Amino acid sequence: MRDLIERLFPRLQESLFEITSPADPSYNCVAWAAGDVGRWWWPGEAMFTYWPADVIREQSIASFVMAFEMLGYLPAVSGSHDPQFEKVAIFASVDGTPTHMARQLADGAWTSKLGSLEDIWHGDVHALSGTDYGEVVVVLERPRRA
Amino acid sequence: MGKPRSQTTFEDERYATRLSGGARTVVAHGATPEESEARATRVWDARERQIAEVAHGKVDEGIEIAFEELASSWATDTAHLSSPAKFLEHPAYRQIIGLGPRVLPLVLNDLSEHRRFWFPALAAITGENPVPDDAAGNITRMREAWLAWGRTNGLI
Repeated sequence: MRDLIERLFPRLQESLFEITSPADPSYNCVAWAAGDVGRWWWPGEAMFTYWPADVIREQSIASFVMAFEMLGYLPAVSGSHDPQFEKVAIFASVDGTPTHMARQLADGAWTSKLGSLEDIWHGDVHALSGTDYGEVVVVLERPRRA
Repeated sequence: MGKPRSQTTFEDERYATRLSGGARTVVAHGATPEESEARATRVWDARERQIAEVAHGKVDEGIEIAFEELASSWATDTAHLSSPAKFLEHPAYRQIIGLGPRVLPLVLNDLSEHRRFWFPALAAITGENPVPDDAAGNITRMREAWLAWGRTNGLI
């Protein structure tokens, strides 16, 4: 599985990463960033996915930001490590369509759920950038709970 | 399935008949209430007949091989993605939908075994949605709802 993940995300070959869970289709990257391992979060068709009730269901960065503002996040200046804050990063393709989310851990490293595959620990948030996930376009933060 | 509930309304200068019963909803339009009702009934009956034809039958080996190839291709290319829109865009996923009701037993068995994201395909093929509104996004409950639907209709 590690080989497959490295093929999907070639930049991980130059960065530290570890697989931290079995594959689990019960939740996806956005759910994992939000701390929910029981649902598949995504805007769009309401029949198939969970999205916070008062947030517009469109595949836009604004919709993702609004969803996480409901969880207490606000825009951050950068994704650099600040132990006082918990940060999440929104990835988007070149046309601005969100593709992925990652969450920063207390030690400054990042954790990502790769679709229905595994969770991984990765030292560099940008290690997942590339063809499929695009680039980090927004970082949000909220005070880290003790 | 018993007789569906029928509601006909006039909207956008034409009549619309909505038939609903169980998990199925059908909407058809016509220039008169009778025409829209007749068209909706034909679609309803066709869906019921298509699913009944597949129920308790043996799946064609060619369909089984095609499904396995297409499902494998789709899963390999999209398992690391989160967007259902990306799943639906994939040519293999669209081809699976194009196989129609005869692929339903295979999709339901794969859902049971692998818990892959077949919900848009199942809704597209059947025109039904047995998932309660409050279960949307809960893969476990969505899977259970579709498998129960499959058992009720003799597909698994």
